[in-house]
Amino acid sequence: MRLSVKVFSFMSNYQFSILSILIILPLIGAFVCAMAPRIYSKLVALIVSLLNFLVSILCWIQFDNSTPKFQFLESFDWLSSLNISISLGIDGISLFFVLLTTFLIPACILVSWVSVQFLITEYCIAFLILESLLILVFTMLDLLMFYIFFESVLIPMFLIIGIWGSRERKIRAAYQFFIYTLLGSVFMLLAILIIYYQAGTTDIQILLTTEFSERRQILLWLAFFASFAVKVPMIPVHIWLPEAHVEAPTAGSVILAGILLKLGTYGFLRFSIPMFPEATLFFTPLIYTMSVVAIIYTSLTTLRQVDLKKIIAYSSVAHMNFVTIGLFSCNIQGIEGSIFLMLSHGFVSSALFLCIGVLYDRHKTRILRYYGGCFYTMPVFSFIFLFFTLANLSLPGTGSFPGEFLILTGVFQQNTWVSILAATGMVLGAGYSLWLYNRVVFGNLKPSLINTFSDVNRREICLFIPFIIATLWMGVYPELILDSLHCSVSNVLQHGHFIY
Amino acid sequence: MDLLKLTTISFHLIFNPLDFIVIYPEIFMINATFVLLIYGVIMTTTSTYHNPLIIRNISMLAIYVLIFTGLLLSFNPITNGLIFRNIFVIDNFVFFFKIFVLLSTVCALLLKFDFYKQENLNQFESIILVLLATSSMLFLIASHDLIIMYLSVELQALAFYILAASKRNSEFSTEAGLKYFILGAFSSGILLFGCSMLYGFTGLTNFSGLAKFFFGFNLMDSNQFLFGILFIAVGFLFKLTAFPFHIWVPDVYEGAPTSVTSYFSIVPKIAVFAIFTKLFLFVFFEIFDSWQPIFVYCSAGSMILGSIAAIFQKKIKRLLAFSSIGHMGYLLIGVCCGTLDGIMSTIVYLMIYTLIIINIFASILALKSEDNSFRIKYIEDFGLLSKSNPLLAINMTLVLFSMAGIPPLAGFCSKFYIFFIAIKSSHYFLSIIGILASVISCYFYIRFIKIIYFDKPKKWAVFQSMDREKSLLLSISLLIIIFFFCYPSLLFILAHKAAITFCF
Repeated sequence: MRLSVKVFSFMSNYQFSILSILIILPLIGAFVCAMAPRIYSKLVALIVSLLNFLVSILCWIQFDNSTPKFQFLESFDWLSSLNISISLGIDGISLFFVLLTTFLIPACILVSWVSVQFLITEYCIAFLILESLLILVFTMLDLLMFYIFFESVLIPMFLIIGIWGSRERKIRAAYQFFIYTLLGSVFMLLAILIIYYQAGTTDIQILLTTEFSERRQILLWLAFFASFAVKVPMIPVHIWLPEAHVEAPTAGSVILAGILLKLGTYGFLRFSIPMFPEATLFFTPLIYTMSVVAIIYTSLTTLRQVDLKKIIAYSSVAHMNFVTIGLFSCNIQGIEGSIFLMLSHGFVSSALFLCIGVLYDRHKTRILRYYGGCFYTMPVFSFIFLFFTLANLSLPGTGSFPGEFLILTGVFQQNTWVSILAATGMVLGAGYSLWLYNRVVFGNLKPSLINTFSDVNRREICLFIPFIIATLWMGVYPELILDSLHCSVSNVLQHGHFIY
Repeated sequence: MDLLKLTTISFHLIFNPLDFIVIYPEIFMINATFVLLIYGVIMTTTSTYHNPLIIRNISMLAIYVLIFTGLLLSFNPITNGLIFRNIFVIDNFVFFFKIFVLLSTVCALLLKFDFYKQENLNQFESIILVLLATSSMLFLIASHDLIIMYLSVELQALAFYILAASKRNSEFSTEAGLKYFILGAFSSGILLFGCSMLYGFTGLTNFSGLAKFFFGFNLMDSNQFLFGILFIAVGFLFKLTAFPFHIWVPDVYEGAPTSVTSYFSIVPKIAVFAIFTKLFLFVFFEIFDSWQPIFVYCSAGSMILGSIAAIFQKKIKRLLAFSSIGHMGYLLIGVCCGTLDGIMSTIVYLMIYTLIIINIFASILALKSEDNSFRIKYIEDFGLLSKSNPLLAINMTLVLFSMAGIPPLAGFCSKFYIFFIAIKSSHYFLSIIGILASVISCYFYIRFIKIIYFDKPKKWAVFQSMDREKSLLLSISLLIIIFFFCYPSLLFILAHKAAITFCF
């Protein structure tokens, strides 16, 4: 046997665009971080991630709002014998998730500037690789490759929670995180294989036009649901989230709340709704029920918590279930509202975790009873914390309000009872957010809080200012984001024949 | 007439002299083995050179022998044909597997290098046995006849029995060798019984003859030879460490010295899988429906057993033994499918599995302490490896993730391909059991990683730095495992070239 293989055959149909830079740049940064002397690794990671953010802003500027087609397309062959190729592309929906990712990673690196003491190089490398994987997930236009990167995000997160977490329980949390997510996704793998067997390809643009029979759609939708429901997270598989948040380091919580929760709902939006429309309609009552139960149950559970991070974690669960209600209302207002809420939740929730990180850095505890009367010694921090608490309960003027309002508008057209029950979630949200703020910031000053280096320092203020700007901007002028969403969301709905 | 002319003519009547060109590699290998044996005996018993310890020397020479055999194979002028009156065959499939066996034996020998100094095992005979086993495997892969197949299997097994018991002053090792010998001899007997039953019912031992015999065969007429096929299947399933015949595996793998265990895990499965695939998918292909259920149940059982039983293991070698039982289950799925894709997926999985196993055993063998006071036996001994050997910890983490089948590492790609082929052939039951077994097996792999990073070991030990050969093997295999998904087409094309010979 004479082996003569054209080794570089994948070069023959190879297109290249700015997305490759977005993906390769963090990997180059990780490599430089590994090679550079230890004292420079944080700086290198920060610079590379900020550069990546600038590149993604460039993407946004060059994005064409008037077409629903995928832009900045790239493709190369992966396995030509099986007709699987890697194709990358952005449309209105993925654009903002990529922006959110590249915005949050520099914040993550900046927040761990002094709090992570050991193995700082490996920490930065883990975050840069995580950034690369996340951008690959959001821009991948091939179902199998989406799945591969969707799952591979678990590996860096597992290491980040397990190695740099704060308490002994972190191992159990990392375990739960990993195995919960994996069990759901192996069913998704089987579904992908069945889809590939029927359609002969895993390219999303072709699969969106493939018709599956109703029975098959129901099975495939259930398999995909098993995977996405764990990530959203929906009741009853939400238990991993409070554990993972509490045990993770601050930056880990930021990226977990900011991006990883959005992977599930992004999956719903990109795959379940356009590809399996009949099954979506069939299962909408299930989703509504589970989401409404989740909103009310987790909001009430929050009232009993004593750990600061758990409160915000449960509030994340409530917000993400709001998002799923909006997604499955299947009209433009609902879906645009849910995407908007996802983005604003990414900013607000991450900022709240940053606030808790500020407190944790100083006092090394997250127990609620320890804190009281922060206003007296940390006035600037109290102001920032107030801003994000009000954003969390969707005060008009902040980013969450247009999101929730559009979602309620969308759901109201489908089912009034669900919208009424979901709206009570807003009231409960106000309940726990304001109560948390009251107990921590106002009240009698606890003696342990009198400390010489209490208030937020320059690095932390620089960290918060972009979040404040983003939330205010989204609240006051949401059209900036909604502008790019109109075409893509209409396209998604049109594929499922929800609108004509 | 001349006596010389008479013998020449009768020789030409029996053998075509061109046939000997084809087995030049095997001839060279066997001759070299015996030359090395004589060299070893003379050198170790001579007092002129003060009885030197030449085990490293013989190991290097053995590696050169293997590489040269590989070169002889590659540049052989004859590439396709049946030789020696149809008892051996040579084609792309055989060539691919022979090269694969030689390369993996080279890797397994490289792993043995440092082990001898550590364990004070100055037996050069184990190298000779490895070479003999390799030559028997070369014959096994090329065999085209039931008798030749059985003879090669026996030779390989005999070499292995001795290798398993090679640590003479350890009761454990002797027990392992004895168990392997008794159960192995038993299963070889069953294999021979099956072959003879098949011969009794068909009158043929040649593979091509048998394949032609079953062509258009009506099972209603007479199906007693199915017993023969069942016995042959049982014999092979024992050698492949599949489900109901796996009981010897944990004990033998644990008792044998670690370098021998690594050799057991890496090499024989390749050769046995080659002949197994050829036997069942070429010879018995026409009566596919009768023997397929055997492998479906064995595969499902292996996967379930491999994942569940490994959860309760505390010793590292037993854990690896059960995990290899599980991997055999996945491999059997590929054979159950009975299509060309099935053979391709089996070959791809086998290649990636070999890489992973080489890496794992190299990592385990690399951990040796100063004066051999601390041996790695339990999984807990790996505790906090991340503090003492951070690079080795990262290596083991990535390889364990690959064994569990987590994307984007190589193990996921091979598992994905196997499940894809299973669904294409409508084996839904097998694929669901496969993915559930994957998730369950994830549990103990992740627990292993947790122990590496977070657990405190009972005895603290300082490990020496590993030798150059192991570090090379580790780095090359780890690079392939990590970056395999960037360009998997190469491996798939190789597998396709090997598998497509089944169509001729």
